[in-house]
Amino acid sequence: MRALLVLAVLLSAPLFASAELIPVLGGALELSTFPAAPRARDTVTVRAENVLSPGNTTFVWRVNGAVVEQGLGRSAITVTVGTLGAPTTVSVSATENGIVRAQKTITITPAEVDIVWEGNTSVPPFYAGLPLTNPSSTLTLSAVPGIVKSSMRVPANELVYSWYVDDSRTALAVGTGKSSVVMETPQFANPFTVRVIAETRDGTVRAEAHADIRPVQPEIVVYEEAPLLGLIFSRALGNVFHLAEEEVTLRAFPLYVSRLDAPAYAWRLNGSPIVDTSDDGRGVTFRKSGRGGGAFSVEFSLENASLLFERARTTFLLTL
Amino acid sequence: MRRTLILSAIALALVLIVGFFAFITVPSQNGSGEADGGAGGLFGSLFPFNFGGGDAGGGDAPLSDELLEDTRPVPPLRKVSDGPSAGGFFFEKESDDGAEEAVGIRFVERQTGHVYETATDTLTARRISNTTIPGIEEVVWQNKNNFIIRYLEGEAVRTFRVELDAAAEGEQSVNGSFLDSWDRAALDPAREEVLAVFEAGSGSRVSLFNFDGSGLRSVFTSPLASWVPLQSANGAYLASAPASGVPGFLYRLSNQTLIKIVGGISGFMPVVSPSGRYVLYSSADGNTVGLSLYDTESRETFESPLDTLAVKCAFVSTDAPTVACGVPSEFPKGAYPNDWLLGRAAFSDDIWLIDPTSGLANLLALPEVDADVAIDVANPAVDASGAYFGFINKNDLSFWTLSLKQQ
Repeated sequence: MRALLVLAVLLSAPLFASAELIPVLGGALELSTFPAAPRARDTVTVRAENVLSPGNTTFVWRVNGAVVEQGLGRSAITVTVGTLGAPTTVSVSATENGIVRAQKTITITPAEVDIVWEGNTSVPPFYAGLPLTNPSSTLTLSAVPGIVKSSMRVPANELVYSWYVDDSRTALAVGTGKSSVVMETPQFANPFTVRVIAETRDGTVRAEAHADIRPVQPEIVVYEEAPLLGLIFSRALGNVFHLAEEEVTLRAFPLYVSRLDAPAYAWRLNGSPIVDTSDDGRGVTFRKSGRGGGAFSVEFSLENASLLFERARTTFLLTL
Repeated sequence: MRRTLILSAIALALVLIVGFFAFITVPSQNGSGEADGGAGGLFGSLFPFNFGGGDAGGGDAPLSDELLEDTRPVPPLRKVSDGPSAGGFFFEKESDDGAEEAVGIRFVERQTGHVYETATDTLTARRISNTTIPGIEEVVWQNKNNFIIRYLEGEAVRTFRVELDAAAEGEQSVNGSFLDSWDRAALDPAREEVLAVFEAGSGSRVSLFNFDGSGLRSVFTSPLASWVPLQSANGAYLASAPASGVPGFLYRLSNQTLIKIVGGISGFMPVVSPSGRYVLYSSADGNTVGLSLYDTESRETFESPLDTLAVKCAFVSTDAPTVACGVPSEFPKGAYPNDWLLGRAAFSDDIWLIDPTSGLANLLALPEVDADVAIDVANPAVDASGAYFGFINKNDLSFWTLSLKQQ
């Protein structure tokens, strides 16, 4: 009888063991971070993933070996990471009924990358502002990384860069040292986003950045060119220009166009074309003749036959 | 005999008539040192050494005389150049009576390229060089005798280094040599080295060289051409070119590597303090402009109590977080800093002394009240002693100084 009882217990043992082996995890325990690629001194949320029943699971969190958080259902913590390249180790154990079901450790190494860009377009001489991109132009983007590993800054040309536009999963460009790209505006005048991921070759340190770019329409800015003062870049012509002297020379500067020699330029006075302009068509001289005053509509336009969006027009009133 | 007497009488009458019309048309100078425009030069051109007590060639006409004597007291806010100037420079000098040490000022007249010298304790100006070079757009000063002028030939920028003879007495001609023209450049606080960005095909090369053009060495190459260089005693920097609403960045150049100082700020325009410790920067999106100061040692950021574009400010001393700024009374609707840089927008500034770390600001001048003129501060600088604030009034390109000693 006793033997039968022992046999029954032995045969039923797997049933009890099976009940204890019901998984609380949907897969291997993983840790996710937000942001995914933290920068220096970022506050990062670290979350345990693949836990089916977090409310029934006790988590113990350690940061750099020290317990910082523990308790039933505590499936996420926040941690402030250090400077560039300074690793922060985060580990978690998931326990149910006193039994450690899984453990996971990750190392967060802050890194950063910036996107600096410029339109491959024209601006006036001495202009210290950014050339913007127009719907037809190209632009150049450069990734400037700040990635430190083992206390050494990783040279920019030794990192792997992956470039993406908007939500595309297909990379615009990928490669070691591919820290810059030249691209066309993807959707004419619509704003777009460019993302870059810069990472070490072994993938252990990674940085991400994105740039939201809004193409602008080309413009024209007109300056007076005085005989002795030269081009007066400090004062662009507004809606009205009063001709106080006997004559004035004006010069138009296309803003944010791809090539200055491509467009067709035209000056008009009260709607009629002005033939006598500078050799490149962007300068014109107005002279008083006779007496009296008046107001004249002056227009300068540019049009690029091969680039749909590279056209612009400006008008002002010339008064005497 | 009778005929002679008649002719003499006619001649005398003509002189009296001319003198009468000169007297009623010559403008006067107000307390700020500004000439009230107009003809001005008629009497001055007839009597170039201020004969009769009239003004000496004021208004917007170019200064054409070797000595422009003016014995009136110097106002705190002073229009140094009567007409457009390409830029001015402070230098140390002894005052004539040897009492208080005055600060010398030299400035370049834009229309002629002539160099004039005056001082902070006198309104009298003396022409130093009479070589005519019109249309100077920019001047970079190493010292009072060595500077670089930049002007346009067509749309090509020409860069010429001027060397004046320090031992020369009286007027002298300009000597010098042409340098390779850069797109943007910055001088170090010691005024020995130039950090310049040269556009090269697709992209740029960034080079350091001595002021005389020697010792050229490349320190960085980039696929971008629009970098803005800056320097401090602590090193060389590159900033991204500013645009309204576009995040910008400031990097320190170190061994061909860019190391970020601060960034991710819309419309970013930085000014680095001479020591390199502080970065004053403005942010801009549309016509919303902000001014802040970043301390690179403590990594703290301080908001300024007043907002302006950072390039309208100059650090008062080498290592203090205090700046003298032109602060616009308002920012009209527009996109900044683009519109200001393009000359589409003009401001009327008040001049303040600001310490963002304490949140304090002291009003230094109200130009529209003090001098009856709207001033838009550009190219600001403070002299080595921290006593004078110099700047170009972008509205008419005249060169001004403001004494900071009253504070």
